[in-house]
Amino acid sequence: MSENTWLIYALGGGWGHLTRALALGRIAAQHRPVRILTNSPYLAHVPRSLLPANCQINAIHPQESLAVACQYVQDALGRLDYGCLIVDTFPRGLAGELATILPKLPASLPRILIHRDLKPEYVQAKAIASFVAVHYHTVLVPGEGDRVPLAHLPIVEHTDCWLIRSANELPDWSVARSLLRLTSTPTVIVCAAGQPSELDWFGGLTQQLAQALPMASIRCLTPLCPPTCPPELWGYHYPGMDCLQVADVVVSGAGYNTVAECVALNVPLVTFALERLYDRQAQRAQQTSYPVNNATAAIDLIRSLLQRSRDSRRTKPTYSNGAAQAVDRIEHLIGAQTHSCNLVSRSALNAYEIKLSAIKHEIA
Amino acid sequence: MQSIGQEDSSLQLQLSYTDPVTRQFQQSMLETPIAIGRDPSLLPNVAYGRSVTKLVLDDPQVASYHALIAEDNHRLLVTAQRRCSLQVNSVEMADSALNSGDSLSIGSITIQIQTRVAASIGETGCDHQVGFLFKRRCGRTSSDGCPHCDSGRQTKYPFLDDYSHYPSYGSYRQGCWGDSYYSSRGRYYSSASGNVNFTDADNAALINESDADFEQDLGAS
Repeated sequence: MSENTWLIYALGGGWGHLTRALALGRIAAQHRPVRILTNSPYLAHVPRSLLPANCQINAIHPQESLAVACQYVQDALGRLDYGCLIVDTFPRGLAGELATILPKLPASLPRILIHRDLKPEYVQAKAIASFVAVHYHTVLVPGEGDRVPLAHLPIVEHTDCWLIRSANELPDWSVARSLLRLTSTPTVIVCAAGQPSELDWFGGLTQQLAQALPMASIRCLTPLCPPTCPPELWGYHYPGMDCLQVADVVVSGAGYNTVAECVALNVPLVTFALERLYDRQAQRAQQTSYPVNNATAAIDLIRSLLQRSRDSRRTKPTYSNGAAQAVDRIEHLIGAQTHSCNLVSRSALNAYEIKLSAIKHEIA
Repeated sequence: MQSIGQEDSSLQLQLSYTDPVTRQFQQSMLETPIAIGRDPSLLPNVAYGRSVTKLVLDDPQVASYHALIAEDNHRLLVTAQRRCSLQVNSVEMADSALNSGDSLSIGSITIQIQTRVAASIGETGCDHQVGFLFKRRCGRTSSDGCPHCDSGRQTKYPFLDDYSHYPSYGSYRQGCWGDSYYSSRGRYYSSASGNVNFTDADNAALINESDADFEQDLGAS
């Protein structure tokens, strides 16, 4: 690792923060070292082959205490060599631990906030807007539109949604189907990508769907088979986006990545908006999917979606990956920061030379 | 899956009605047995061996303790107390079986009944009622670490006893707890609209109160 390293802060529960960091990190690591700081409980289920050689992970145990985790983050930010700090979602840190260390970092260090949607209550309670305006150079909104609470800041830039796979990286249709042992169509994938405590519920839902929709192949996509899910209906592959492309319908929570992936792949998504402390799944679900609030409604909706023609989707998906756009924006920012620093250095040098000249003149 | 009910067969009723005082539509998801009356302090705490959920109706035609809705032998029954009357689907009865979709009239209030077996958390989230000032549905998908129901161990509404300290809570009639507040309503009511002037300061106070929830959970997202 070196001063060129991009350090990505991606603390937060579930898959979302880690997957977004990997989406950016995999592309960024093609030209520089990347280090990702995470406490995701799902890190162990990310295949190492997905990480480029110069993309390293600093893992905090998901059960670590608040105090120890905060200390670890603060130590890491003070100890590691990096030339750019990218913070996902939480400007002050998940536990507020960045609020004390950001003011101590060099002012010239480029700092970028990835602005996934946040609840306005949090933004107001912690005075997030003013904090971001002071401590960040750029806010990148990864395809969440202009309804996010910091959209009014002048340092905001928008990209398309960040995706773990660019379109040209997706496996072939037949390979994708084999990943989940799918042999018949139509296919419904239950993407159990929520908190670990929610997986049993997704497993139970999978069983209900299988009973109600015998004409469809149902799969519950999650790292470990929930006890509520029949083993033959379970499958796992990461990134799940590889598999979602073959689904006729996806059922999931309305988290950032699943929604972004289904939109990119043009797969109908039936969502249960799950309550989160910071995220607004209900708002995202309304904008980009078919929201439901019980299994019966989901079954009726899926049945109707399965009756629609899906032939047009048999072609390879084409979409732009906002993560690649984000890498370009960050590179541009770093270039501008460096140029700015050079100007300051040159200016300081000029002042020094003028002063030296004046002293020499006085001596003479 | 984890159940929040006392047992798997507990029944939840969605009761919908229009409050005769405020004219506002009310909708509550309550667990049986449900005692209905005007005075919460006179409603029973236990019936059929189970904790009672209290539904307080501020209507002079409703008795202090008017009726009880409970399960008996897998049937949902409503029973009027002595000298009280009620109507089920516009028919006057002393007691009656209730079914989903029935209307129950007590005093001047008509309540629409929808039944639902208290399923595990998750189908639509936890139906446990939380909040004191702003009573609302919990909605969590798991009871793990839930501060409201103590990880599923607590099944009754957490502020049930607190309401008994404020008889006729929510009523602003003469003699009621809220009467003095209503009398001096000019201090905080908008005379133009007749609405309570809920100021930015009030809003900020509530935000500060909930502030403690943020930045305390490393598993949040």
